[in-house]
Amino acid sequence: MKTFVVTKGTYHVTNDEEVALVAKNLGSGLAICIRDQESRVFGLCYLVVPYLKEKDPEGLPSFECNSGLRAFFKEVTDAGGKREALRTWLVGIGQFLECPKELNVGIHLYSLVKKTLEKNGIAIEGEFVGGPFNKSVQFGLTLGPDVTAPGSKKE
Amino acid sequence: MNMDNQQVVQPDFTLDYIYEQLTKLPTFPKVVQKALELLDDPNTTTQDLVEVLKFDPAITTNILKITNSARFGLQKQVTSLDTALALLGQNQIKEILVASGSLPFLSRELYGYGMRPEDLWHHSMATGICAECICAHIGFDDPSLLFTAAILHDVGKIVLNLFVGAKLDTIMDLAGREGFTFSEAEWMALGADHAIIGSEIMRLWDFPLDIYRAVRNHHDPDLYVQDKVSALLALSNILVVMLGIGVGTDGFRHKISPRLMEVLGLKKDDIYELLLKTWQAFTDAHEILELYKS
Repeated sequence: MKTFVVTKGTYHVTNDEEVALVAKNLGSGLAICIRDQESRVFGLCYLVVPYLKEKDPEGLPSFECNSGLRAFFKEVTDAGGKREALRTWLVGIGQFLECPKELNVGIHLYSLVKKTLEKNGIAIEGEFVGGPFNKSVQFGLTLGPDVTAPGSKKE
Repeated sequence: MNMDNQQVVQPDFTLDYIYEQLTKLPTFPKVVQKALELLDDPNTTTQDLVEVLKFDPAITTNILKITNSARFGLQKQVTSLDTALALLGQNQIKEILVASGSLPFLSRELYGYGMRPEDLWHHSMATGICAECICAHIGFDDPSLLFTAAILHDVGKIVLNLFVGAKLDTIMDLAGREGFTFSEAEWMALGADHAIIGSEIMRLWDFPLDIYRAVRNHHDPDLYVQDKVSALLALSNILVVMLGIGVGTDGFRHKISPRLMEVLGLKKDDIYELLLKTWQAFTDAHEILELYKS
């Protein structure tokens, strides 16, 4: 199976069943894995922060949550994905053992994404979030999400 | 005396072995140290620097590679050392020298910490880049001092790697099930953590106190809020871990001081901006990041 690496602040949507989408070293970032098996469309969006003062940084369409999610879901629906058939998984949000609120970027990002998905009626099928792990994820139309992290039991 | 009922405690010489390894580690390149000293002298000319550096071909090659990377934005490809040094600013030269001199130490696989050969190099460079972004953001006046501390902050992992590897199950048990930080687990299993060992290495290499103190403090939330260089180094490392760059098994298993943001006068929005700037600058430095392969 071919792999396509989705880097920080970007997303990728495809209907190529031979491709697995990969997001590595998520840190406190969040990967949103989504698929509509009826329409054979799937995608992965890699968010890093809840919001930015600087709008639309070049080459990083999904570095921040609001505009990133909007652009990602537009591409999913443009590719044929139907909102009611979408299944979503959230992966990432590595957490320090103790962290002051202002520095807890992951938890702010996670809350905002959850709120946005709920508001738009998009169900979350599963979550692999939190814990002191730098997770990576692999995802395809019939695959995963397959989550790994150094120091976790799986590795 | 009845010895049957007494538990015989075997002495543990791990810490002695660790300190023995410090003296076996090759020293930081003397030509780089000498060049860094020259740069602090206002009377130094480009030719003085060339005279010191030209006899080390590995350093010269690395300087040219780093100088020609997109990160320094020079218009033309530079092929001679004197042209490179003449085109760069003093802080840029210092940073290139530190990065170049550190490369042989930081391009190793660290099995004990679950780090591949590129991880320590990428993590160290990213921490240096992040430190620069923070310095520019808050107007800190000695970015090259912080850059040096940032590049070498995890050098203690090189020495502790084998020992951590040998006691990884114990350390992961302490850091996982028992809820200790990774540094606390290192202390409990080995009698030292990578920060104190790194600090000791840098002291032996004659780096200034501000640098080796910051390296010692970078995982200690009570200590790093007590001076600015330590606080800046701790934050640079935290942001790079948040970005997931070169993070091993210890990555998120630390505690962050509730006072860190206040000490540096930063707010949540500053952190989001710094994460973006660090990531953009890190991806611009791809030629430097590839240097570990050589």
